[in-house]
Amino acid sequence: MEYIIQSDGLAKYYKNFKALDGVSVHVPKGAIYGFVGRNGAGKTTFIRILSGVAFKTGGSFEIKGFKDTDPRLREARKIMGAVVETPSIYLDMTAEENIRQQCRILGKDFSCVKGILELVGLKDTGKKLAKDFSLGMRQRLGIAFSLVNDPEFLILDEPINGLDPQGIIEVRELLTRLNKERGMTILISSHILDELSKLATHYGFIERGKIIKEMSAEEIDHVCRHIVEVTVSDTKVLADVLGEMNVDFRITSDTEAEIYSEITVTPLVLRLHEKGCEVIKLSEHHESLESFFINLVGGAMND
Amino acid sequence: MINLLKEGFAKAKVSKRFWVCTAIIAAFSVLAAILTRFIENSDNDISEKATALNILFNMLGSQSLFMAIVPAMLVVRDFTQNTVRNKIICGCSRTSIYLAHSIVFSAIALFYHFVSIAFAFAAGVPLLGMGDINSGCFAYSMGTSVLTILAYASLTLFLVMIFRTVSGVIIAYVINSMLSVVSMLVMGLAKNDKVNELVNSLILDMQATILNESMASQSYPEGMMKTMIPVVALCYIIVLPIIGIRLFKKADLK
Repeated sequence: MEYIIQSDGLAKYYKNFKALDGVSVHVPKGAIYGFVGRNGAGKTTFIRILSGVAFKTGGSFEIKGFKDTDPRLREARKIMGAVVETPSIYLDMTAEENIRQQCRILGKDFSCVKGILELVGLKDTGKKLAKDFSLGMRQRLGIAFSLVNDPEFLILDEPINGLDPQGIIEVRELLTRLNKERGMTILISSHILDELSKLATHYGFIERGKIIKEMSAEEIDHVCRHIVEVTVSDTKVLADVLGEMNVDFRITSDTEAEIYSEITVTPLVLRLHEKGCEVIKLSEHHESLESFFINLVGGAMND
Repeated sequence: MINLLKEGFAKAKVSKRFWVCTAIIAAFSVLAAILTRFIENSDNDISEKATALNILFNMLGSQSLFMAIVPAMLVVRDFTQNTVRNKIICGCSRTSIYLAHSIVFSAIALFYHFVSIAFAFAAGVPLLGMGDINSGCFAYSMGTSVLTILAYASLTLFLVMIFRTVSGVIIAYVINSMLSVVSMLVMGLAKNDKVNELVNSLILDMQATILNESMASQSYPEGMMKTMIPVVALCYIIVLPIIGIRLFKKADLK
């Protein structure tokens, strides 16, 4: 598999505090890589080191095959766009002037300005200054900034933080379009897991500066447990029946239980009916990425 | 590097603060000419008549504040708005970022210097007359004033790039004033001509005062100051960016 980004034992220490402690990450080409971790887990530090804004203490990383010790890494960074924490924008300028500034920095002509503004949905902002933009508009302008050099690879640090539902949908659609239409690899860090699960094709879970696990979305789907929620009139009877059926379950209240094993519903309902227990509701759902992460992190904390 | 310069100058051009400061500097220069004329008219006992040369460098000392506000704020904003981060991500080297800031900073500072001189000249000549010019001394003062301005710019940028906040701008301004006060104390205590000349040459605010007097009287600075002032200014211009770049290259940014 071809990786756009690889890190091996990447470390960053601030005096005695280990912000990153041997992080090894592999971002496949064309993937949307969800970088998942709690606040302070080390996501932004990792991204800042990749972007060249901060320096590593130990380990190594590669961007498109160029090692961090290679002087050509700076050139490799030109295929990369990044929005780290707050977007880098000129607040006293309009959206168009902002993109023109980025064109100047990259030595490009201004022919792409209109197209990029259209792509991020800021073409009609006219003379409105960036300082008067909403949070979502600023975020999209930040992404627009990173698109000027037509990057192969995009890094976004918490791009949906503080956005309203409409803003979240807009950013999600934009990222999906960039990935599907332009084949852009995207590394996106977030702790809004529900949203991330709608985008990511691969995941890296980080906790206390360490990568706990790297998985593809398919692997997570496979691992995430199916849960059947049952509401009955008598959970004691239900527990007896499920025990007889050798099924993995948990009673959650006087009338509710969760079943974690694959079951055939008809025999269960019939046996409950025989014992005078009424089945009120039955629903099936997947364990969310959120609960998967909590279990994972819980395990890591216990280690 | 050229791309970064284009970005820097474009930023200055659209900055309201830049044009407001230009107007203030121009107005101060004209006001200086008008006030000098007014004082001369109201006091007949003045033995030596002031000329346009007296007000030509009027802003050299006090303008360090104006000179610092606009370009320093442009640099500070590069950090506070995180646009400097964007430049690094785009593959610009930290050396080129520092140098581009330095060139834009110096260019704006020199622009203010020449605006101040041009308006002082334009208002001063008709109101006060030109006076006798010693062409060698005039060229020396003009040339050295450019070096002093560039040294001011170098020192201010150095501090701003270290602190990366508005406090860097304030410290840069305060440090000049504090050094002047300390140097006056040193000169008062030493009471030695050589020490006085050395201190006058080393401190930028003192340099500005000496150059102002030199331009007004059309005479060269005394003793070793004539050589020391441009040499010291050159040291500021060359040494501080070298140290600044080395520090900036090792700094973790937000």
